Amino acid sequence: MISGFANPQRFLGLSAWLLPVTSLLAVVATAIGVVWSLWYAPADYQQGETARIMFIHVPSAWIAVGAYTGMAIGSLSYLVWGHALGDIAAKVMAPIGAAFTALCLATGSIWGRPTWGTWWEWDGRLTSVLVLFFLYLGYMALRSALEETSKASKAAAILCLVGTINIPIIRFSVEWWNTLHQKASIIREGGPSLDPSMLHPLLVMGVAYLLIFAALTLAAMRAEIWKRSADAILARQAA
Amino acid sequence: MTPQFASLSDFLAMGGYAPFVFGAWGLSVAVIIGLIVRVIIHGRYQKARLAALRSEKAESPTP
Repeated sequence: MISGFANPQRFLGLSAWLLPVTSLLAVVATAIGVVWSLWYAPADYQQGETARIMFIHVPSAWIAVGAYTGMAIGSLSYLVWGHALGDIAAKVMAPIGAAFTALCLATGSIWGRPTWGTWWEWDGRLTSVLVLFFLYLGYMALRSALEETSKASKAAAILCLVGTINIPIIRFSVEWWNTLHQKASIIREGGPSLDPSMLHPLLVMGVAYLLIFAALTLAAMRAEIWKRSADAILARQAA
Repeated sequence: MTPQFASLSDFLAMGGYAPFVFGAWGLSVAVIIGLIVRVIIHGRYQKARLAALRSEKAESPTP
């Protein structure tokens, strides 16, 4: 299956059934997650109903970081083994990851106003996620500034890999700079500190966001393969 | 698993935080729907473009 993903034509065959399956699962997980988060999950005893923003804020943060990590893996496989699909995956994940990073920043800001008393603070976590957003924009700007050649793909892949230094900074920012953003409460030593009544709907929303991201990526990769095939025909005609 | 709201109006009030909770949720729904629409339109366009080029090529082998 992994080797199948390295070949664009076989990828089209595999994704032809993987995309509808992923989309269907995404719809189911989203339906369960939304009702559970908004209707059945308890309000926080300190934050009240504003805690319901967590169920979309935290998953968007996971996707923001996860998409960048996916781009880095794709870029590395392109640079090391010349896998065209790695380059295609990295390219199409960039705008999707940027959108989820923007959602993470916006929902966090909306949550911060009633709970912290401010829309924004130059806190380590907030600032490092803002840097992630600019990395996505820089990657897309570089790709659109250069013509679609292997040179452009290589330059973009190198930029992406250099930017991965920011990923551990995001992860540990809440330990290094102890300002406003709370510390990790899910993946931490001693297990999650979040109550199961909130943890379980949050995990369902996390799975829903992951499936939405996967479906969007598969669909965008298929479109990019068609685009490159069409461009190749045009290039041959012009030659 | 018990419902946390006694009525729909309780739910819509969100304990006085409705603009924040529904603002954040509404924005997320809008952006995700935008991503889905964008990829569907882009995908259909590229697929049709490739199909047109391929049929064109099949009709006129060597100009």
